[in-house]
Amino acid sequence: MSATTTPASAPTTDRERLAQAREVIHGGEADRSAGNAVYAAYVAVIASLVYGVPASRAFFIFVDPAWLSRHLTGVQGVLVIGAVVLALVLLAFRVGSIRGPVVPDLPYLDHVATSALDRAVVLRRWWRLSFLACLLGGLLTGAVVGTGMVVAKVASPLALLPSTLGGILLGLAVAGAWLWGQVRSWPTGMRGPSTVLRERRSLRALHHVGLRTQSARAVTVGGAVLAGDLRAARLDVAAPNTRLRHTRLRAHGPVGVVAARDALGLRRSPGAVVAGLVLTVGGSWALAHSTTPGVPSIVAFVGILAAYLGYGAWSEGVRLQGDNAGTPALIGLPFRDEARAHLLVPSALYAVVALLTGAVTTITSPSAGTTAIWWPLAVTGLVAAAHLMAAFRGLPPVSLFSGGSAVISVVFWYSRPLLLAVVGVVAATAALGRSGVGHGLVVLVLFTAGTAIFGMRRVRRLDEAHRA
Amino acid sequence: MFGRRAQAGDAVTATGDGTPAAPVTIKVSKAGKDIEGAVLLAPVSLTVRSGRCVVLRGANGSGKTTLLKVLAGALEPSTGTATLDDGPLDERDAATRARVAALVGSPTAYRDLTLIDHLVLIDSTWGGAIDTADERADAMLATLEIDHLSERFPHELSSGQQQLFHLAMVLFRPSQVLLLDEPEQRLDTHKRELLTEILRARKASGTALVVACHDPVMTSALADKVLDITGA
Repeated sequence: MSATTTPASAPTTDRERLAQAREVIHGGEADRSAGNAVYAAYVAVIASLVYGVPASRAFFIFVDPAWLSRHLTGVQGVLVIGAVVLALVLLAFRVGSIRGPVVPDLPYLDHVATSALDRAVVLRRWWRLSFLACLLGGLLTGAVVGTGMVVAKVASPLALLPSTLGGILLGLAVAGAWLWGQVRSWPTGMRGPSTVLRERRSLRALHHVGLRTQSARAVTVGGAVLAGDLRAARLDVAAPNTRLRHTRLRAHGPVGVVAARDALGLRRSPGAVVAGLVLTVGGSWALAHSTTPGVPSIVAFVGILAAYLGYGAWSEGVRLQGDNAGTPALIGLPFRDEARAHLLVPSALYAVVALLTGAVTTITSPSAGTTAIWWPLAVTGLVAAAHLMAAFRGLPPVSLFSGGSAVISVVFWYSRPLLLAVVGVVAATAALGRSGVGHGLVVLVLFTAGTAIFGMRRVRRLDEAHRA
Repeated sequence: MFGRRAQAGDAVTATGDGTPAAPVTIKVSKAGKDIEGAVLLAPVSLTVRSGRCVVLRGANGSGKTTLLKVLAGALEPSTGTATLDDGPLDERDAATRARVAALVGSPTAYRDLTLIDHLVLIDSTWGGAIDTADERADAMLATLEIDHLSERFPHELSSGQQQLFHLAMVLFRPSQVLLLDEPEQRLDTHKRELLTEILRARKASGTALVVACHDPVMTSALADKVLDITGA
């Protein structure tokens, strides 16, 4: 458009056109998104100071500083920290394919992002907000960890500098991986390593359909979370399966075919198999080490956490049955028997991996005793029972929309299976270390039996809930 | 494996193996349903015997689906009674589940199984012969003319194909009573004719049918009796 035909007030650049569009969207009122972001940052800083630092201090006091120093310095320390950083970056990349850092609302995508305006300009605001959030999150995490160490007198005040700097770099890496995960989620276009942390290239590579899918998913998942229906959120996030379509489920007996179904489901989800394997090996390794005298309880805590998640990666079958509860019967097995049959494959896999990991840990670690061989295996029943509870937890007793302590109630309701597994294993491991194998086993058996009874009760309740 | 396209009724005999269904009577007597004052179903009486078909008609919200849920033993009536051969009608009872199959709403499918896998799974859990499960599952899909979709996953189907897949799962499991809630939904004219033939074959083999239906052609072809459900 030539200068002679353009009115003096008409926008001429993409940035000006976008500013005008945003003014129309906001109905002539001031855009408050920047102010909201500053307020959110302010709240994050306050929360870090009020809750983060005391929690960090308590953690470093709770964990034996000498043990921590031994294991987090030198080559072992580099390996552990490197593994944590790598896991976070990979997680951010994966999350980017589901819900990336650039997710404007649907009307904006349909009416503004589809215009001829440069997409790097149109989407920049969302990316920059997410980028700054990652940097701030990294900075606060590093500062909180460093301050906790200083306050607990585990490290000198000088440790605050590298921990904060490390946090910022971690935030940068997570932000880059997050955006790249979103760029890579669309199968065509510029999506190679040259787009990593390159704002303009990355934003121009984002496809409208991909952005729209993520935006719609964010609305659905957000609504599901607010309603406490995390099952709907999980199903929305799950990637559609298309692998091994020519491999058929073979007929077996009634229980055998359910186990065969789960095995085939796992073969069609290699990512879940690998994730489960990595988590179960890591968790079993930590659980095996937790039996060594002098090792702090935090190791058992981390071990059961990883083991629980590892088992969960392999137990999609039982969760899918929980999702199907209340529909007219298609399967010929009684509901409870089908639920038990769904535990066969993940329990067998878990038991084999736990036993092998326990054995390898005992052989390779001179300080580990013979208990380390079977202790990871011994928790199989508790982990399986906790997953039975989790799969049939149904809908929460309250919604996040309810008043009072609804958020805490929903979080507690959702975490109950994990909490039972964690408390049971940490208590049993502590009893094992202090009072011997017999006491440890008694605690573990009691927790396993209680969780299994609770789990089967949940199965029955969910099966009958629709008969109101 | 995908040889002759099966004819309507080939794989949909009452027990899945070609034997006729045993006699059965499903009955509701003055059964009504209300929840906290909201009337979902005004009291209604109905008796259906083996080899008979009752079609339920009525406006949206009149209670057809609620009645089907009562007949499936999935919902207890607030008033009146529901019985199966004069015994309890409760889907928690294994005998009820073994005899009553229902398509009421969309049954949820396993997203990591193909169509043929679903049928093999269902067949095995009902104790179907292991060595012929594949052939019978193929035949069921062929009967509904969706055998070419056997290796697709449920999320790869159109809405009409989804409906045929749901019908295949319900028709494939053994049953003496078949309850269908608007089975003609999303089906084209040819598929409606095909489904009508399949249901007529089931009726002829001794299955008791209760079908909520808005299609007058299907209704006249299937119904021994039409029950008009009126709203509360």
